[in-house]
Amino acid sequence: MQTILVCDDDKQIVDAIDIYLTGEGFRVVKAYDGYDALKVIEKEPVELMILDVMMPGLDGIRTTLKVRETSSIPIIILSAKSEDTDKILGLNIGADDYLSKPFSPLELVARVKSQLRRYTQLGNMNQQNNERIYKCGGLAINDDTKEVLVDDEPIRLTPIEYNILLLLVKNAGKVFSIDEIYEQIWNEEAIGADNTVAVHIRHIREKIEINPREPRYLKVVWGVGYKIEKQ
Amino acid sequence: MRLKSYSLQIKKNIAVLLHMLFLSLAVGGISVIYLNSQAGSGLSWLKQRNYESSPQFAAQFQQDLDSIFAYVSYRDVFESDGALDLSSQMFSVTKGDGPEVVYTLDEVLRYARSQGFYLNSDFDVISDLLIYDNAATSKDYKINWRAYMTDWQMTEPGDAYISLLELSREVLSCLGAYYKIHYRMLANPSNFYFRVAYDDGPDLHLEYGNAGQMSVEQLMGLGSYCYLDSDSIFAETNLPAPLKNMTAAMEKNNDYDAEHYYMIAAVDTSYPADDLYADNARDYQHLRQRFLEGILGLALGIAGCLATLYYLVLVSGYKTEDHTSPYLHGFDQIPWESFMVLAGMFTLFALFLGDNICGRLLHLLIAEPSWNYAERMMHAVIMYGCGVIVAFSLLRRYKCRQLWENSLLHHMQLTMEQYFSHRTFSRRLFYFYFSFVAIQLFSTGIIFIGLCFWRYPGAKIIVLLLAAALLVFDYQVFRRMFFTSQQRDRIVDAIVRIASGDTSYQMGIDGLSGKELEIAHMINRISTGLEQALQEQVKSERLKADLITNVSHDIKTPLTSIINYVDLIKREKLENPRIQEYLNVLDQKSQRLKNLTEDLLEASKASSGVLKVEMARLDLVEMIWQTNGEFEEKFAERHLELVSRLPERGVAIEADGRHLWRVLENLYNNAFKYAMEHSRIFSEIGCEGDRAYFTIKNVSMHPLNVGTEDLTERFVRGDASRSTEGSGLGLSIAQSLTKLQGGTFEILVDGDLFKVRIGFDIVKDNENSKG
Repeated sequence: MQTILVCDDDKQIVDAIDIYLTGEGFRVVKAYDGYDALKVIEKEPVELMILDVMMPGLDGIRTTLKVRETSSIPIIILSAKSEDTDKILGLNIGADDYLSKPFSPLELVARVKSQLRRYTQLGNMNQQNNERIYKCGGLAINDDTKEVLVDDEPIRLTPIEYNILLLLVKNAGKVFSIDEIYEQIWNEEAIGADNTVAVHIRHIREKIEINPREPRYLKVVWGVGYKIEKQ
Repeated sequence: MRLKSYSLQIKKNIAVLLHMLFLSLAVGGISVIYLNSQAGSGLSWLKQRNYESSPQFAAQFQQDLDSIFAYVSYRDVFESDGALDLSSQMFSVTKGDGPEVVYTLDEVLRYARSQGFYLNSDFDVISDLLIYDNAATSKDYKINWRAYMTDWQMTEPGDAYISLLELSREVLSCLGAYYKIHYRMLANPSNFYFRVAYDDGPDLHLEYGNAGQMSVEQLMGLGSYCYLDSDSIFAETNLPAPLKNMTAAMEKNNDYDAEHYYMIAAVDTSYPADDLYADNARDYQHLRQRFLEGILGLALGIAGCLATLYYLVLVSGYKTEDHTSPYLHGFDQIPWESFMVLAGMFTLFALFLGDNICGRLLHLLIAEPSWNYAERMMHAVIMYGCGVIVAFSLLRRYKCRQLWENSLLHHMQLTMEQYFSHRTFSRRLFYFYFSFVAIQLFSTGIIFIGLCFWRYPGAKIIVLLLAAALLVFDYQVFRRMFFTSQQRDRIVDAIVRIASGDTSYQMGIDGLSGKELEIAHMINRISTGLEQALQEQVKSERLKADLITNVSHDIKTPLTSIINYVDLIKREKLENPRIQEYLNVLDQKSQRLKNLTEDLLEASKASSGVLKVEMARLDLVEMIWQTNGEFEEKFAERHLELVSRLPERGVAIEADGRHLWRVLENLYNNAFKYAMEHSRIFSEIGCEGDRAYFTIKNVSMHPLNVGTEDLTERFVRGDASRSTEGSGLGLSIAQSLTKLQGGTFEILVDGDLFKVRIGFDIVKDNENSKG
């Protein structure tokens, strides 16, 4: 049973998260400020931390810094702030994920699971290199079996969606315009684009992303095209 | 520090005292030189080391030489056997038809005594009587001969008649001339030796003089001498100045036409005898000594004066040794022009006092011949003293940089500037122009008149000076105008910068003056005011944004709990359908609240401008296709058909993709929410000139009873009833974000047709076109 530390100065939020995570089969340890959290970490093994940013005493950012001095467990930051700069700061100092309040409990659970899978199965990822496998973070495509795994969960895609995703994952980081994707996948010249590609992309995003509005893998570069974020 | 300043003051006082001492030394030196009876021979005196080489000696020698011949002429008249003979005959006269009467010296002297004539101690003729009787002065005696005037000849008939008084006076004066030499050189010991000898062998040998048996060579060896003989025309002498009249006098006294004659005169320059020469030589040495002392005193005094003056110039105006803090006396505060006038008046007063007090004291102390000199010296000293005081005052002002600062001219200039800086430009120009023209005309006129009188040197000087002054004046006027223009250029520059948006610009005020300085100050005040107003506006916007941000954050935390617990209740699988219904409402409204707070936050950030904008080149057509892709299925839910009319080639614009996405998302969402079901939504891109426009059109479900301006206001929605979902912030956010990216945002309402048009500049270099 994996242990998750939840730390927020709002008791009700901690309790709610506790209910959800316990329901998913995790053991939950509660803390109500940064010092509590650090004490818990010293005392018992913790596999993942959920930290609120704005807390009395030691805040989430400084707690993250303290934890990172000794441990590399996944840290998900919760915050009422949703500005980009806050997210960037949180991720830069060592947090693994960031969730703005108010969050949907399902999204939180999904992200927790995703982080844990990546954390615990990081070691055996490199063993399957005899097959044509393309990986990008928690996203893995096995081109031999035509399987797509997101955080080890198999995903079902249509052939066109699969081809588009494969193209983007093979060229992770490269931005493809709608026309380029069209020409590559349909093998014919794009005469005046339409929204076919955009709709497919949207479908893929809904399948592979936890929150399609804030995609982790398949990103829209507005006005230019689409890309898979290199991780 | 205190001790130091004290010692400097003492040093200064000592220097002043020394200066006065040296000054009196110089004055004394001048006085000694000037009051010397030999004054006027100048520094040549230094070369004439002794009396014999002085012109005074030469003059005395010449005088005595002349007298010698008087003696030579009269000796035989008055003397017999080497002594004065009172019985020697003087002259013979005849009165009318009477007998010839011969007068002896004795008789003549007696007659002279009876008439009040006699010789004084200097052997000059003196007369006691003022009025003579007619008998004595009547010219009724005819002269037959005169022993003392052998070569006398009548030139007029009347010459032969003469009064007895006249004759006796002639005799007396001749006797005086003879006796003067006799007394000085023969009767008494003398340093002057002479011998006049006419020598034609045994039959004629006449010899006059006091040289006794001394030979010519011996006489020459005595010192200064003069020798002349019948064989030469020029006298042989060691005197500095050539002697006059000797040859003529020798010939004149050669009564017997002797072929050979010689004369020698010599002065024994060791002055063994106590005579006139010895006295003069002593006096001469004494005076020369005094003269040298005077020169020494003068030189020392002047050198001392200059040295102390130099020291005082260095230290004057400082209180401490390190010469850092210049200070002024009370009277140095007066403007120097007034000070000069006051000093002039003070000098006059001092001169007046000097004349009336010191002058009289000097009269008591000093002999009368020197009064004039003493008074002049006193005046000079008083004027020197006042001059030094004035000069040091000016020096202190200079050291304190007060010479110009605290002058009437400067005050006048400041007043003028003050006056003119408060006048209008037109009045300034008026005064300036007319005074310029007046001065120009006046000076040119004077120069012209001066040219008419060119031959007078005064006119030349005036014309040249005036022309030079006019040139300088013109140059100064140009310079001033030039600098004023430069200052105005700077002002214009500042105004341009402020007008173009640099409201924090403060123009430098160095080198500005007068009205321009005032204008510059005003401009700086305007820009400060503007900047302040802007800052305050920005600050208040930010405060507002901060407030909204904080409130939103505070709402979000409880909202999280609400959403979570609503979800948890839902999971409890309650049987009661009404509770399910209530839960749905709670769920919906909490979601709505969540959207509302997010939109609110975004709207406040977008409108306050704190949002970061990362402009990049992007393709508007691609962007719309992407957006269409996101919304197509959503539109299908409400049976809306999306009709896109987009160009085949890309249209490149500069925008922040994420913000533009928010704009488009809001517009599409807007269309999604408010479009009538089963209607079409048109999205188009059109290019007009170098601007690309994206237009989205839909037919509104509700009548649009709000003005187009109000639609972009926060919390305003097309349906006044607010029955539909939505925060009322969508269009406001879209507009703010579009403007933030430099685009235009227009809403057009035509009946139920709702149309939004956003425009961006097309980027010309079309690298991102399709392909």
